[in-house]
Amino acid sequence: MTQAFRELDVRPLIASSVGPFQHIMAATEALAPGQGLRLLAPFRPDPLFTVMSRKGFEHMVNDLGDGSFEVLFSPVKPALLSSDEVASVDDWAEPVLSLDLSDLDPPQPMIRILAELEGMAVGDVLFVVLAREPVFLFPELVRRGHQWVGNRDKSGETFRMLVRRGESNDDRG
Amino acid sequence: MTSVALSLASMQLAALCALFTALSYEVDLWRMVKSRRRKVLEANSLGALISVPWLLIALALVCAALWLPVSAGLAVAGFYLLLMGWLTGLGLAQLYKIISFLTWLKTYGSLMGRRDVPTVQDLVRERHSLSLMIGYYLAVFGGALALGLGLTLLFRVAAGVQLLMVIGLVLEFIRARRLFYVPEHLRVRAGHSHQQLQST
Repeated sequence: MTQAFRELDVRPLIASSVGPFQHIMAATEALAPGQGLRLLAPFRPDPLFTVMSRKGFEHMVNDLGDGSFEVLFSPVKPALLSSDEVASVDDWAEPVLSLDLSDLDPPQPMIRILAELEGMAVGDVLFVVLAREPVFLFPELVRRGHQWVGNRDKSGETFRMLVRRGESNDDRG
Repeated sequence: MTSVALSLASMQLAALCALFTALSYEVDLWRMVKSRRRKVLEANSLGALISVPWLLIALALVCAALWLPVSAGLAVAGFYLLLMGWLTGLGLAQLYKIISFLTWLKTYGSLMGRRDVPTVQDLVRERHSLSLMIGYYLAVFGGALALGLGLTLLFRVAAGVQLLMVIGLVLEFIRARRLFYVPEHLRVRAGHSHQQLQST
C-alpha cells in the first residue's frame, strides 16, 4: 500500500523569520488516520524527529540537493497487542475453534473464553471476536499459562484475538 | 460600583457558559444512552443517569439567582444539588458496580471456566440498592427545596434521610465485598479468597 502524504513547505515561513514549529504541529494534528506528512525544510530538522517519534511517526530524510531537505513522516502502524512471551504467531496452529462473542455483555465473553480453553488440548488455538478489548481477561490468561495476540479491526468496532492454550501453571483452581 | 457591576456581569456570563456546556454534555450523554445495544440498564447506570439532570437544574438555579431578582437561597439550593445530587449521586451509583465487579473478579477470576461461578449480579441485590439510590435522590431534592424556601426543619429531616440512605448503600457495598448474597454452593471455600479479600 502506498502511503498518502499531506505536504507542508516551511521554507517560505523560515525565509520570512516565522517559527515553523506551530505550523508543523497543526498540520500533524490535522492528518487523517494513517496519513503521513511530507515536510520541506531549508535544513535537516533533527530536533523535530524526537517530537514526531513521540507522536507515533517514523521519518525518512531526502537531501534535495539545493540545500533543502524533504522529510517523510509516516505513522507507525498500531502494534499488535500480545502477552509477553509471544515472539511470532507464524508457528501457531490454525484455530480449532472460532467464536463471535461480540454480542455478549461483559463479563460473559471472559467466562466463555476461559471455559473453552479448559476443554482444549495444549497448543490448540482459539479465535475470538469481541466488542471491546478484554482488559481483565489478559492477566488471567497469562496467569493460566496461555498466550494471546489481538488487535482492533480496521473499523475499530471489534477486537480480534488468538489465544493459544498453554500448560496450566496455575494450581489454585 | 462599576467594578461590582462588572464582576456580576462576568459571573452571569460564566454561569451561562457553564449552563450551555452542561446542556451540550447532556445531549451527548442522551445520544450515547439511546445508541446502546443493551437496552436494559443496570442499577449503576440508572443511578448514574438520575444524577445527570441535577447538573442542569443546579446550573439553571445558579443562573436564575444571578440574573433574576430572586432570593440567594436559590443559588444555595443550586450548589447543594450540584454537590449532592450530581457528584455524590454519580459516585455512589458507580461505586455499587465498581465494588461488586472487582470483588467478583478477584474472588472468582482463577475459577472461571473450571467450576460454576456466580454472576456479578449474584453479589448484589439490585432492586434494594436501586431503591436506596432513589431514596437518596428524593432526600437530596427535599433538602434543596428546603434550602430554596428557607425551611430549616425540613432541611434537617431531608439531610437525615439522605444520611440513612448512604449508610444503607455502604452496608450493601460491604455485603457485596463479603459475598453475603452469593448462594451457599457458589461461595468460595474458606481460605481460598478470604485472604485476598482482606489483603486488598
